[in-house]
Amino acid sequence: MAKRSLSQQLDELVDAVLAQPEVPEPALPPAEAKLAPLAHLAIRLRGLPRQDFKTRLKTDLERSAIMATKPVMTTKVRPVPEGFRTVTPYLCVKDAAGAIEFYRKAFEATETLRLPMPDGRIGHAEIQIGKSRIMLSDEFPEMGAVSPPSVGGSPVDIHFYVEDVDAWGTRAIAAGARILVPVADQDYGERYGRLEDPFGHRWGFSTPLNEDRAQQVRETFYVATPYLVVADGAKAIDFYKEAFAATELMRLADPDGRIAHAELTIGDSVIMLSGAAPEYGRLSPQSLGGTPVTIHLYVENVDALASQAVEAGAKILRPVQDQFYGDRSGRFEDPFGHVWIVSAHIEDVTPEEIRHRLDGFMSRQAPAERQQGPTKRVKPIPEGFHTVTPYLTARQAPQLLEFLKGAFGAEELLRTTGAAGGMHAEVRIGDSKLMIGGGGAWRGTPMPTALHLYVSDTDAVYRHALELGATSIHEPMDQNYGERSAGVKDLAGNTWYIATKFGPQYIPEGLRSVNVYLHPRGADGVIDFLKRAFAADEVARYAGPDGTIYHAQVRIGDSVIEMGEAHGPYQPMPTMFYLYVEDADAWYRRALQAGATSISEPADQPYGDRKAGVKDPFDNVWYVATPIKDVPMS
Amino acid sequence: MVAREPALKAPGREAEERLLVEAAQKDPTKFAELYESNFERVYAYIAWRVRHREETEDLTSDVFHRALASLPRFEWRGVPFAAWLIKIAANLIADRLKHRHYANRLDPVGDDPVDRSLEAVERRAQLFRLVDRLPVDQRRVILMRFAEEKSIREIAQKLGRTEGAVKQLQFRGLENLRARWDESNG
Repeated sequence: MAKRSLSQQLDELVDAVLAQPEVPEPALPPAEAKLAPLAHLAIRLRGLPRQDFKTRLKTDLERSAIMATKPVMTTKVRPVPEGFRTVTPYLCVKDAAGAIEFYRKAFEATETLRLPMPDGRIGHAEIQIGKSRIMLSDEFPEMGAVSPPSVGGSPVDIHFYVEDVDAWGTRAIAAGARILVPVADQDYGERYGRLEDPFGHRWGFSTPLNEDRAQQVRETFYVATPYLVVADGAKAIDFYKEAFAATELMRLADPDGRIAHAELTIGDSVIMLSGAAPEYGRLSPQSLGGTPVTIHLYVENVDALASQAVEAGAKILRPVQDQFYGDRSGRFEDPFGHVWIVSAHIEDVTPEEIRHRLDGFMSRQAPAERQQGPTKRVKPIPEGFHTVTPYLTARQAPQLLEFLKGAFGAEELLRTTGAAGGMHAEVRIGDSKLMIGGGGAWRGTPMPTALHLYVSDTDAVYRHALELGATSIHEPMDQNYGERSAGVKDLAGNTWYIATKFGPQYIPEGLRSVNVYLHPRGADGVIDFLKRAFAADEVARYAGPDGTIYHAQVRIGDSVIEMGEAHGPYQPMPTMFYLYVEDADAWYRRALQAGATSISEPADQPYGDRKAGVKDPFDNVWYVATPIKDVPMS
Repeated sequence: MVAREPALKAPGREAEERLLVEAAQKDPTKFAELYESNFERVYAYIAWRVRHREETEDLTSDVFHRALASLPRFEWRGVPFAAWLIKIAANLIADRLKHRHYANRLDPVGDDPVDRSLEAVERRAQLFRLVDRLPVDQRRVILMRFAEEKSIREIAQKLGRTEGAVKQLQFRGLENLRARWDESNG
């Protein structure tokens, strides 16, 4: 019989110890002498506290402590107008009138104010849902007010505690909301559901399941609470404390310090926040490139708070000034991309008087500016895209698409038939977009690609990918460069390096959820080509004594491509890229001068891009494209 | 996770603790610091006398809530703050002992010489704090095994590792703890 290893023997001792929780000195099976001290240590460890218990109790105590100190506020001037609390979410909507109608049906909202602009758009409206006012307006891109479809999502949920979450969910779905998270019991003691309304705003509803939790949140029943996604939760909490005198009510962090959920009070209101979780569609304003929800604060002393916020690092979008509608207010962007309006009510103005003053306000604006209206400028990079988009081609493209959806939570954004008779699809994984082509009548050569995929839990994603048919390249392991990573190959031959960076941010600075990783022969030649052809910047280079590049990063536009010299199992995988640029013709010519060969000359495409294609000396294919007109997705 | 030096006896430590207590008496939101530096002690004491996890958590929670509420009446008499907390814990346990329902989960001795056990509590608390300082892999396994009471198989599944690898991590984690614990106890 084979001798059992020490670690096996020790585990049998630990099992024996844990099986007798109530016995002071449990009887242990015989084992090697050197294991005895470890077994005794195991006995002492039986009472080891659960980490989440320690955190939860701290949160409870902090709540109790805050309740004990809460000062009673008395004001003579009522800077917070009747019916408002400190925090009011302000939603920008593509069709504000339609949204008000929807919120009436879905959330039993009542309209309390509506101010139409001369061009018919709603300049400002207020509705009442539960105990809260919610402000909303139509889209005014020229003034920085953009709706969820223009931003490509929303980094702010509006959260409500209600008595019957199922009823709220059912009614909203009947009215046309889309389910993001079906209503279900959550292990943190709430029954919760998450919806997206037809205008792209996201709503969370929950009902506490136990009396403890109900007690904690009773004050906020039927109060609209903004739930902010931020790139760095811990930093954001510090900032909101400093900028807006927020008090921390609770924080749930994972062992690495990443904030899974936190609650702060500002004045009489609560805001919630969490770090970004791209795999659950929770993206920060920075990765979305904006926000359609502004957080409106009514405060006692608007000037003092505004300067406090600016000192803490907020950017002024509109300085504090008296407004015609009776508030003194300013607009600010915080370091995490969220937008805040800080206001004090200074004068009671009737809606009629506001309308009258609004007409005066509009006629004082320059006529040219007024008539410009909501012009829609075609951007060099379409919404949601970045400069570089990897284009994966495969014979079994539809199966690949299903795999990406199942294994990596890819969200299908578009599926259509390409010019060569194959499928063309676009998906989002976390904060990144990918294009997928092939299958059907397509007879091209597949170009499997190597990609670096950052996730919050490498082990779980790795296991899940294997369950869905990927093959393992290597098991999850801690790497000496500060990541835990695993490797898999999908059914189309793409290589995925699944990784979680250690520390509060699991995606390293400058990278995205998905990054292309090249293994060329002659990496310095590739870098040189990319510099000449696409004005790439070398961000990092780690080379051996003989100049061999182990790892390098180059930036093209807003995107980073990683690479390392081909070695061992990591052989070249030429990759297809889709590049959005200002002037496709110019970049095409420049690429040819840098040594690329032409695949296709610049030409206008039916889907709205002007596009050209080149192949570089290392067999990578680059499509350079400039959007020339907006074409609806379908 | 802040792991604090225990060194109850050091005079600098006493002055610092006194300041923390006074700060928390003025502003209850400062109680968090006292909680952080005493959690393991209170928990270790209760876990040692009440060998039942839910009961231990319940009592620990009770001790700190009572301490927070009674803090304004706390008078500094040169005894470590932990001793006060443990006195509260001992009283609560004695209360519960009166109910037969709890009796079989409690230390059969029942009568507890608080003063003599402070040092033993400190050693146990120190062991708990040392777990926080283990390398992340080992820490995860030790916590899942001893605090969450998961089997090696469950841990292996959760971490996506082989059972052999998890056993190795458990072995190295315990060895590591043992060495550090011996070291800190001179």
